[in-house]
Amino acid sequence: MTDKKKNLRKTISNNWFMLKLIANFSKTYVGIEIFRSIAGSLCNFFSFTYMYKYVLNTIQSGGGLKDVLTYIVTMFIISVAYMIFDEIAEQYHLKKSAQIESFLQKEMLKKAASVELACFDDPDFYDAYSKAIEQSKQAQYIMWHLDHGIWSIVNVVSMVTLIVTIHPVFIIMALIPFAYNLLVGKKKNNISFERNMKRMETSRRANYVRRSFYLSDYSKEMRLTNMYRVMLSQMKENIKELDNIAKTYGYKLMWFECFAQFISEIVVYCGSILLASFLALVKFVLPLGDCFVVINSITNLSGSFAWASHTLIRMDENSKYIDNYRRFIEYEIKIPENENGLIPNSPEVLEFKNVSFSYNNKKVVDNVNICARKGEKIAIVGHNGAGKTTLVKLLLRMYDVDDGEILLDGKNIKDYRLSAYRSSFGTVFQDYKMFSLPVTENVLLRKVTCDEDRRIVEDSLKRSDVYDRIANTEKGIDSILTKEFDSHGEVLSGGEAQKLAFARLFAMDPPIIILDEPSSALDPIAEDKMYKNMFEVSEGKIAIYISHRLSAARMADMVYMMENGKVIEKGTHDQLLALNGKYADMWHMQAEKYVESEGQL
Amino acid sequence: MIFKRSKKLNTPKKEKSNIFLTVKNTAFMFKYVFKYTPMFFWITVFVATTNAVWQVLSSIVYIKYIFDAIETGKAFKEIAIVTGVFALLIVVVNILNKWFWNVYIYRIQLKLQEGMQGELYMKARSLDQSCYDNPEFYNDFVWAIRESDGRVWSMMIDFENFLAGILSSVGVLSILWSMDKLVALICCTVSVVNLLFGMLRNKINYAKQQENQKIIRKGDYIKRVFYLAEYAKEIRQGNISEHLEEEYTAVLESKVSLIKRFAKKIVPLNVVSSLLTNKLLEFGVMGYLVVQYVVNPNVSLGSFSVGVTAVFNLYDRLTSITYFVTRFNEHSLYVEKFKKFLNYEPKVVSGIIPANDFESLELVDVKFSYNGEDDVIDNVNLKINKGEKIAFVGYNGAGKTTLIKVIMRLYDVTSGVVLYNGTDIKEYDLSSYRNKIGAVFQDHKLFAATVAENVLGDTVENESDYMTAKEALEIADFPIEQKLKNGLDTILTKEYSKEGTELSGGEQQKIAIARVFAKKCDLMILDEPSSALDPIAEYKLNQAITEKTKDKTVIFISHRLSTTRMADRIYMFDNGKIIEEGNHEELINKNGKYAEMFKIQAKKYENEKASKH
Repeated sequence: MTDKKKNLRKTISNNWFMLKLIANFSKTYVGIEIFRSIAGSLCNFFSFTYMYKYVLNTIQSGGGLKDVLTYIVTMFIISVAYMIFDEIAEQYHLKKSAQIESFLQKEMLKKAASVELACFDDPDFYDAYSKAIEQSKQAQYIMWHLDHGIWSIVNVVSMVTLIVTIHPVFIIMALIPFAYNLLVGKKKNNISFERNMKRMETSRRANYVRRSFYLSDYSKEMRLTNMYRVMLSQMKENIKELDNIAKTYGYKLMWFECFAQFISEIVVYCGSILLASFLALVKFVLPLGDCFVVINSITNLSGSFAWASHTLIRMDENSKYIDNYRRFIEYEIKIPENENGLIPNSPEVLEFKNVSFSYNNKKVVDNVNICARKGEKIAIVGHNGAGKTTLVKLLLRMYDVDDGEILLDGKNIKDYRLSAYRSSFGTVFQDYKMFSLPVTENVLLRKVTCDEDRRIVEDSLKRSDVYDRIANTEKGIDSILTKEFDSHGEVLSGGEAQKLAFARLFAMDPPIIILDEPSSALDPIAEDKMYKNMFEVSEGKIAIYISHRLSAARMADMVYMMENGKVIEKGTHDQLLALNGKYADMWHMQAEKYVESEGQL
Repeated sequence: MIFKRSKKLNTPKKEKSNIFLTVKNTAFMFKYVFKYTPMFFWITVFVATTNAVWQVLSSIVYIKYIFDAIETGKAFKEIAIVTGVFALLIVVVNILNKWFWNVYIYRIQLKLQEGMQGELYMKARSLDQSCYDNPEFYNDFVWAIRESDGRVWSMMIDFENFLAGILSSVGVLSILWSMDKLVALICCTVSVVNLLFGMLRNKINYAKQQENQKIIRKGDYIKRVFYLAEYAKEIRQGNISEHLEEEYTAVLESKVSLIKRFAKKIVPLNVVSSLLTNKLLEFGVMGYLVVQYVVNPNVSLGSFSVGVTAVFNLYDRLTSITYFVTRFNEHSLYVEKFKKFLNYEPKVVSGIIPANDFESLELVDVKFSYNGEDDVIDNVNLKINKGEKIAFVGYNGAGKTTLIKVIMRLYDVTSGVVLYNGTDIKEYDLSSYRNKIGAVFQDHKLFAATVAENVLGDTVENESDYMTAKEALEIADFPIEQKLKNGLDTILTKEYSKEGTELSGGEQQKIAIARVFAKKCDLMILDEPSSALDPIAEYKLNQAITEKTKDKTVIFISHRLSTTRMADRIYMFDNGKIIEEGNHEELINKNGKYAEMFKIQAKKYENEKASKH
């Protein structure tokens, strides 16, 4: 019960929150929408239900045709005027709701760009967050519910008023379905909710089976193996399960719906007809027009009751969307911008001091000490999963350390202003991404403002050896990348995209460089070019390489070998070979075959 | 080609107007319904007829009786009896309907799904690999498969509604006609006018939607960039996020200007159409009926009431028929794509000879190109004999992987011939031929099924299948005990079950390699099998492979020239051609491209030698 109350309070608070947000955005819009529903509902009432009553009763009591026609013509004019207003208001509504959607969306985008990366790893948060972005449109459906709520309330009030003046007993008749709904509605909703849940789970599986037959990722295995037999038997299982669900829940729901229908059609409708004819024929208290109105509008009235009572349920649904939005927008960022923080000024030393970091309760970085100076190249090597990439994320403050500290020029990196701190880094990640924007903006990672910018782009592309490829396209450096929404967009190969990622560094010219070497297969010539780029771009800077193969480590000034989150060996390449530890092992394994051949040459 | 595609997207209007095609396509689909669920059609016809009769009975005949009875002052008892009978009918009709919509249609649809999906999926599997390279075909194909369930479902529902709509329209119209020909005529005319306006409105909305879609796509892209984890790092660098926000504002501006532009057309259209249809019926016909009721003594309250009810009833029904016509046009558009997919004749067709164990593989003047573009494989000649270790090396995009696909008959050669044991591979029974070769590709994919099924590439039949899978995993050095909670029955990926196990890239690669060993064939093809592994794991794997494949024939593709140099013969590819061939020493001595490539890689390890000496 308290849960229920809490839920109700939350529903109201969430909907109120969104309504206030929209009202702040445009009061005129909210005002017009409210007027639209009230006027619409009244207009509807007076041109149907009330009109019949008026017309028939006037005629029966011997009134003139003139009065009746005057009424009809007046209502016609009002109704046409309202219709024109409504059409214009509808377009206004489209415009406003587009603006509101965009406003909500932008708030979220801003937030998304500033929450710490850890949020992306928390499945609950991520789920709520992706839903909030995807469904921000639903959040503003509050306006729709408001419109319909007001509409049906006005409708109910005017009809009740009318029918009470005819005979109050009909109101009781109209309320029966509503009462039935109160009694068993919840039970029925639960059953259909349960069914939908079960169906969703199975449908998800069925969708997977289907995907495996049409996605090109699976196409080779599908053709070369008998995996299709496994997938087909999964499909049969799913169908069987779905059939079971359809059987069990279908019959239950069928009876619920039947009874609801019996109540509204037999008890209410037939009952009212009997009652009305009784009052008209036996008691002689009901005029013909009233009889007509009651019989024609009783179903409508009881439907309106039900509809009005559903408003709350729909608002509850809506509240979930709003909740996602609020949860996200009100989320307190753990790694804030720090407006008054220090601004890095040509950094000299970067240092990890006893840094530890756990992820999902597993220590992935364990008491690491690393020091990098200007003009030095540091290589971090080790197995997959040794914690190398996590170090980079800590360094960029995508996460904050659990223990120890990272110092830039002797100051904790938390003391710096976040955006200024991050912009002193240039990074090429393993999984660099291209945006569906012109090449220029992909290189600069900002808008092109002057000719100087274009020169920088051209220059950077030349230095990373991808300029010829770009210049040969129809629009040169203004070509849009990817075919996302431009069918003429340029699609770069893996190697080319990587070169473009390097061009970003040449264009930025940051004081600190971090390179996370891709582990995917590059042919030897492409790989060699990548190394050239790596060294050229890190000249005279603080440079940190994450390397999976050791060939790059040899050229570094200092090598850190990591295992299970710890630095296990440290020194120059030659020192580590002399140490004859794990690094030396790894090196010999890779070098062995090349070296033999050197001997043969 | 891309241009053609986008053009096509803009012209389904033309296909739409063809009523003949719509009927033909609907009939085509119903053939399927008949095939898998023969009773459905008749039951639906029965339900629809019952509903139509009931509509006329309840909304017209009964109502007319009631009002006439009240007006003429009939006995209350009679009214009560009639109403009682009416209530009984309500019970029967409702049970029939609720059963049909809540139980029958769900179950029948599943039955249909089972039959159709089985057929569709097998068809999908028989499609050529090249279909995936043709975006136009691929999009249609995906659509055909993805939509199939939902589409057939809504076709069934629409069919019932459409049938009931037509039948009850006929009933209502004939009653209205018998009462007042003028009103019936007006009602039909208004419905036709409404239909015409509806078509015009659809056209405008369609144009608006088309434009809106482009805008929305851009907006959605920007949204996605912000919420996908893979972009998260880049978004936090530079000023790209501000820039994308500006782009988003531009999206809104174009949305608003679109709304304004179309409002100029939509508002007047809606006003005029509403005046000529809704308002005309609501007030014009109402006025006429009132005058008739007052002036003409033959018009009873019952007739007046039926007039009012029937006019709106008929109008609603006729209007809904318009809706169903557009619906069936939509369905027809779908069926077109569905048919195109079903009628596709695979180009890679199976031969009849069952393949024997591997002896030799020979490529003679083999050429291949994707959709008639430049040759990706350009006149390749090579012969591989039993027991040989062969390496394919070369730059990215030199055609090595494509050649493997040609050998596996995922594609057929454009010209030339591939000979397996001296016979053209096209002569062999496709699946028996493919079964003789174990291939692991760079972009291998695991299925959401058990580990054993993934390794075997088939259903697990018996204990010896488990043994095969286990041995294969061991050869691939897969950590069975550490990673698999339920042993070989562990389900992979979270796609199918939340308890599924997710594997790292390296582990996935090991499963893919195990597949080849589980197949127990004499010819193995390994395309970059160790790219996702770290050096030590790679080293171990290479050792294992070398050991286990001693007496087998192996084709190996790798960029790590250190792993390919042990091969009996190395083929160096460039632009789809073999530019050099021979063993490692021969190629080094030749001092060509291979030697250059090898030296570049070896250089990085060079001073190892110096430091050793």
